[in-house]
Amino acid sequence: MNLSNPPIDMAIDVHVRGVQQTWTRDGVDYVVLQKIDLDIPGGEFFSIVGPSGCGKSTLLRIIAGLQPASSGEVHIGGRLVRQPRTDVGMVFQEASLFPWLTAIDNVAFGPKLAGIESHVRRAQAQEWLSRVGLQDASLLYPHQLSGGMKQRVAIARVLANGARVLLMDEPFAALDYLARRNMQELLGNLWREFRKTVIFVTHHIDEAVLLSDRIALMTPGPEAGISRIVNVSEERPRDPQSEAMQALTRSITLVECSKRKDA
Amino acid sequence: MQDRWQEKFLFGTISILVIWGVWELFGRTELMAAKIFPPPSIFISSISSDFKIGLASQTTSIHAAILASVWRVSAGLFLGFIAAVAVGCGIAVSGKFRLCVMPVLSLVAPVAPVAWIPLALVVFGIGNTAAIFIVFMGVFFTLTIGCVEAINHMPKRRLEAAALFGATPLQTWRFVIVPSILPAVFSNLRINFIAAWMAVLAGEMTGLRDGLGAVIMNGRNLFDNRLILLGMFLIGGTGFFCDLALRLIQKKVLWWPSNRE
Repeated sequence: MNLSNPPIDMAIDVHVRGVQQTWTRDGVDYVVLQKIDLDIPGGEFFSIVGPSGCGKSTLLRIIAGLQPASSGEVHIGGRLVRQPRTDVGMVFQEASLFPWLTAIDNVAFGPKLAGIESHVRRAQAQEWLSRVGLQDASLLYPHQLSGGMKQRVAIARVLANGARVLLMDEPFAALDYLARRNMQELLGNLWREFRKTVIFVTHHIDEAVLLSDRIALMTPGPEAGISRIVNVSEERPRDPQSEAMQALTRSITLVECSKRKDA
Repeated sequence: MQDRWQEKFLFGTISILVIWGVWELFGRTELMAAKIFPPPSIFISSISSDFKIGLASQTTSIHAAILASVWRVSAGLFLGFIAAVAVGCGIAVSGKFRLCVMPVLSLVAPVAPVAWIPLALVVFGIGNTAAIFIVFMGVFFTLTIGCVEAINHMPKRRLEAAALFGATPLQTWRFVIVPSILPAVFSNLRINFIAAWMAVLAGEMTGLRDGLGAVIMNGRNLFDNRLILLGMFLIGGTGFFCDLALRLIQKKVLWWPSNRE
């Protein structure tokens, strides 16, 4: 069975223009995100790295349309983001699968909402499950799956829904080292095959270096912003143990991320 | 911590057998109390194959009495469950609806299920409708409030996931919110089963002429302590098996958590 496999020029670009986020508590305004501008071309693997609490997730949620920015706007594929859209998929740190559905029905959830016939969407879902290495787990429920397997289902679910932009919010943070390694490899392979635009939030620099075309480094909050964007031009597939990868990882230290902008 | 089922079974059986044994020994004595509390060997053996309860035209068999009570409580619980989910969702959807309905619910909820019995008998007459109505009134309010609670405590991620998959509001309710809260409402239903069961029995003892509650009242009217204790025994046993059935549904059908991943 052939999955709809949009060529690279079908990938869509993401533009973040002057996005700012403030919270108001007891009449005092707190600036969480300060004037963020990003231009991510279609098909790019873009990572955002920063210390915890710097507002990476908030930025991602604004891009996804899950929460409105205090000011500024986001355009995806030339259209202004006002609310969540089906061409933008999101993978959270917790897989957030529906516990009452089997793996295959979780993957077929989006197509079901779109009115795709049952046998068609299940055949497609089965195909997506095999792409993420879960062809034998399709009838298991989420509580029967390991953390890594759940994230595989979550990724398959987003791909099956036809997302052209993948937003990933620390998707592997809750996994153990080995599972994380496996997931990084899987995601790298899927990305090279399907060339979706990916925005990947993480606090692991090595992970960002291994997977990304470019990495945005964020300063700690409040008033978090982007301090620098690093290009990773290394050929793929990349070896995380290689000298070049390790040198690049060392060159981006968390010290840099944790430097206050005003300090 | 979960006890192992073998252990549960063993200790449960031992404690019941001990009580039974003491009761039987006590029943063999010449004390007056032994006549008032006939032991199980005496009252259970009073069920022979052609055993009938009641007088003349009102006689029923034991299994008809059990079925009558079980049917009433099941129907009432089922209708209460459906109505509570519907009204609970309505309250969560519409602020205006909530403002209209909540005061009524809060005023009517404290009326004890048994307090509905006289009214039910006047309105519906003596029969199943009245009994089902009493059960319904006994569980509906608690379940509705529990349903609203369950909706409020649903993981927000589930709603966000639904939105990201392009769910319309109706689809979000049908495919995400309702399946998400059903287990919570059902577990509430199981907790309230005892209240519903008591309401039905009280109804059968006071107004309705059949069911397990009526068995006891018949015993009383006939000054037959064996019948009274038999009725109590059957109420205990039937209630136990109904609860077991509900627990089984909870474990096998509506097993996923409502409030976490």
